[in-house]
Amino acid sequence: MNILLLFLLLNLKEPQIKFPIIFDSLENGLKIYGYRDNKLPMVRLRVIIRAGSSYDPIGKEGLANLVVNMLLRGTKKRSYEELYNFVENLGGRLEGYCDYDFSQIEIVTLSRYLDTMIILLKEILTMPKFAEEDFIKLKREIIGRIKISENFPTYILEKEFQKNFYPKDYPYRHLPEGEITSLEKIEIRDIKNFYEAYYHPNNYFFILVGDFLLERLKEKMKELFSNLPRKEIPRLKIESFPKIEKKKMIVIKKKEINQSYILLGFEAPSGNNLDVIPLRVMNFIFGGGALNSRLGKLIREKEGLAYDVGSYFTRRYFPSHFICEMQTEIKNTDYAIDLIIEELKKLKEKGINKDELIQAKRFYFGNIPISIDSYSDKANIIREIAILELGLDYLSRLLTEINKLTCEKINEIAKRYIKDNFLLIIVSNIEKENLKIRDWETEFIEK
Amino acid sequence: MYFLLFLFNFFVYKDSLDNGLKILIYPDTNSEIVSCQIWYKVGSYYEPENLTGISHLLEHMAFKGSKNFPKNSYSETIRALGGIDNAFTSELYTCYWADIGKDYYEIVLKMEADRMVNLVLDEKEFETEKKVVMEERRLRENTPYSPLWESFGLISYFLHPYRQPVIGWMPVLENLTYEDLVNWYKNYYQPNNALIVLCGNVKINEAIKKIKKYFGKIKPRGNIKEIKPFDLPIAGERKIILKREVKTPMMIFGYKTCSIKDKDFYPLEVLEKILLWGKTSRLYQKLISQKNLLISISGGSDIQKDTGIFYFFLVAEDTNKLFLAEKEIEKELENLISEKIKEEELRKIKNRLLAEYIFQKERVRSIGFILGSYEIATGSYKFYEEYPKKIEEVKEEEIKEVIKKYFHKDNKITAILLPK
Repeated sequence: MNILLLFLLLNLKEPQIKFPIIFDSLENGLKIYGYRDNKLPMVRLRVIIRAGSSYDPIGKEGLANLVVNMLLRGTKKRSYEELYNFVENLGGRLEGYCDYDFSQIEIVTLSRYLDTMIILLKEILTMPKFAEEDFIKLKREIIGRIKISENFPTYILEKEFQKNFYPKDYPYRHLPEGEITSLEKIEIRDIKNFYEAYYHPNNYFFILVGDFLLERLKEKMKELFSNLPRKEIPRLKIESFPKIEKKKMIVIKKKEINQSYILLGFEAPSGNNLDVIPLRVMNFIFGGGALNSRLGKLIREKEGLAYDVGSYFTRRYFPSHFICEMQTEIKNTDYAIDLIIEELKKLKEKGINKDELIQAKRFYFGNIPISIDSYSDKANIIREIAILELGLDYLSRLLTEINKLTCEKINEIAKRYIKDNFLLIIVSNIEKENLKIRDWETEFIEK
Repeated sequence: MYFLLFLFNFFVYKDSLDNGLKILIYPDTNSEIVSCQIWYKVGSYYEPENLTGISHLLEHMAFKGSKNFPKNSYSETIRALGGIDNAFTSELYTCYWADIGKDYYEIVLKMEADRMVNLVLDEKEFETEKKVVMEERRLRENTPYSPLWESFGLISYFLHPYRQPVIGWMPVLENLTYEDLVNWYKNYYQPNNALIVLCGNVKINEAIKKIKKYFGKIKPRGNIKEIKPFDLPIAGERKIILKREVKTPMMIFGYKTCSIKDKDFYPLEVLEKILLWGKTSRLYQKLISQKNLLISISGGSDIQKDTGIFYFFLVAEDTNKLFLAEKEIEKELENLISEKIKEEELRKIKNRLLAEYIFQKERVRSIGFILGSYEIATGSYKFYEEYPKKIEEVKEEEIKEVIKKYFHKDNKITAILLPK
């Protein structure tokens, strides 16, 4: 360790974070989050709907994504082209997006057109056209994109992992865009029903980041949205949570590729669980801190086995997964798997050391300003805070919580979450007989 | 909308040191951070055939430590300050960047200066890192895009180094030697071949003092030989067909255009947006929404230092539709020449480009990337400063002229990927 680094680590002090989020709500339950930053004459305007792909009915996976994108295919006043032309003529961007826990519409606009864009957003949310012809085209486009994705080993890996890791009926068992077979079953009436169920003011929250006048915004939002009626939103009922009962390996054979794509998955808690903070710090040390993490140093720096290796937690509303992932030349497959398993075992049994914890704390203390530099970063943090119900003071609390962490706490968490049983998925052009025989449940699939 | 740009203050300070080191500073006191970037004028453009990928491999090796910051301590120090860092290599440059809290950018400058003169290149680590880069290359080979792009590059340029992938060819990578690497470092990592870009919460005078403190005493090792790549004239259509295990056939076709300093650069930019920018673009509307010929279309005017290509990247469900789409694009280009381009269509594109010019400045790191890349590719960041004005001045006739000039059969290059 160089002297400079040593000096930095000895001077560990919890910083004060200024991230003043503005919050307001209307009587009908619509929430507004804002962050004023006038360095540029622009605003990122988002509406988030708590209706992501986890709300898709079984057999109709991909429905939430279709709905949010159908809203942008035209309103009762404007066609699809007219809608986009309207935004683009004023220099703006309009985009729809569906994630697991939420759907989102975003308009990026010059500040001077903010009022116009809020009015347009109301039109999009409340006056959808839902024309059959647009629906057929949209479905065709999404199916086309899925067909392209199927050329990529990483897409197959992710899709098969989710399908095999989560129990049937679990909200995160499928990718937000759904599957070709499920999309084919969806009809326009499904779109209308989903919209009727979830698109109401008490299920929306607006996020504005940029150059706007607060009082004017409040007035405008009240004027435009306070007359929308609140409605009861159906709640998700989850029967069973992810639980890996035994070690399992699934190998998906894909011709013509020259690497094995390896993914090990473990259970992880919901995004607002108190364990998430120590887990994040543990993950930073283990595989989340790029080349400085244990996995990066071992697999890439020392062994030269992979370009891309790491671990991460998905942070979602319901319990999800913790993953270790890498790609390596086919002949190194077993060796690389053994190394990762050994490293996980080491973390579980021996834990972390004090230096690693101090380095991780220093990283988090200094990283907040960097992680909120752009308007988009700020809007993303606010969205996470709102979706996971973390509280407006979350960033300051996060640092206090991290400051309190001890090696013992992280080690206890590692023991609890790195379980003996896991799911291993491999996408490779490997022959069955070339893989080490392991005492695990194993399945080979030809693609 | 052009007048809006006058309301938006965009100030860049430019300077240089006696040893040839160039400096660009974009002060932004609203930001709490500084993006500290060092750019070296070296990339695949400078590589002979037997050294393809060496600039990129050197970029990997530059994280292995320098005399005063051994092993991984460069990145470890940045992480310990909460910063993030990385690097990238392209045809024309290699850029190392670190985003860090405003109080700490001096430490990055200190480490970068050490990297410029005291990089420790260990032979054993070189062999390990070569394996990492070969894995990186394999990762790309496993997507259908990479082999198609590489084939397109090979037939677009017969002799010019743009034909070589930045990551290098696998057999060349395997044979790169430790001596090659050391020589490459000594030749190109010099102050007279480097540019420092600082964007974010910095005071110009203080920043210059700090840069002088760490870089001012570094002497150039020598002059860097300018290279003047050349190529054969295209003289007729070029085509290549590949076959692979893919679910969807794909095609890239394009036309050779001009260098970045050519006046045609701007009409080609506007043409790109008319044809390919987003869901209201002519080709998205026609080929995906209306005629259902393609499942994806992208592309644009890719203009580099000496030359450029305007390309279209098509993905279809079947081969027949792919070829029909190609014909439709050619028809659309003819229509653009023969029919009037509506004023509102041009106005929309210009408004979007002008607004994007503002939106691009959300993140200090992105501003640095823009300034650095233009400074190296054109010789001055001012190229970017003038961009909105030049776009505003583009006329309909100029768009028609560039189509007539470049988009013809004898200037066409096509690479097709078909399912086996």
